[in-house]
Amino acid sequence: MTSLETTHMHRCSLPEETRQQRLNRIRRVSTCMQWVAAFICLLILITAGLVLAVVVNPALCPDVTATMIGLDDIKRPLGDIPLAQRMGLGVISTLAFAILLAVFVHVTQLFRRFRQADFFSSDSLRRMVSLGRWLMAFGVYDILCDPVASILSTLDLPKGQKSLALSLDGTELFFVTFGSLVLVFGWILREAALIQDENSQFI
Amino acid sequence: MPIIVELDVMLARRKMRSKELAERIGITEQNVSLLKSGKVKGVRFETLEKICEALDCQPGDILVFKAEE
Repeated sequence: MTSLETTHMHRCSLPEETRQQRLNRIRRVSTCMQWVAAFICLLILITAGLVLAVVVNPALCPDVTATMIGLDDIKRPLGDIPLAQRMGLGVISTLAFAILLAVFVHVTQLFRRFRQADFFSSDSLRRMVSLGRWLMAFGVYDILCDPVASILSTLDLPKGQKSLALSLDGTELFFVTFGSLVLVFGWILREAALIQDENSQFI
Repeated sequence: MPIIVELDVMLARRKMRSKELAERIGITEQNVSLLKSGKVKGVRFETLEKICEALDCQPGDILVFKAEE
């Protein structure tokens, strides 16, 4: 069997569906996910505010902050950590929430554009590439935050009790890998946009 | 460009306006204008077939090759 016959067989086996049906499906899923992503953005903002407030003033929520800091073997009540170090932990947390917020803002905007069948505009492409970069940034942040946070949590302790936590697990690898996948997919979409633009110049 | 589109010549011979041709073949009048002026990258066979059917002509009557000097 020639490669052409094989390709023809693959084409015949695909379910028949009109372009309008495909676009409707994209619009339905994008509409739903746009609202989900927007809700997640709101949750991130609320959570960030609460976490920052508790880190700055652990007395706000004594029951929670009594066992708040847990990094591998490090178990230390948040209230026992000096204010300066707690502020450092606050900065780290804020950075995490800021990156996550950037990710989900881009996701929200992308789904909004996909809902309007705007797949190949320069704005959609730019957001796809940015989303990939932010996802990779979160993966790198996740790798670095454990050692930094462990140092900040135990900096005031005597020698022998300070700690440095290092970890590399599936979550960090997932974000770096998935982020690079989205980034490359954004570049591929850019090529598809150029092809579409050229096709539109055929009458 | 070596390929010259002589659609306006054929339209004049058949005494047909661009608007009528656009309606017959199912494309916009703007695209017919682009085609007449040669400001397109290409023509699909399907479109060429409809044009030839509407104007009762051959592709060679509309598309002419003139080598660049």
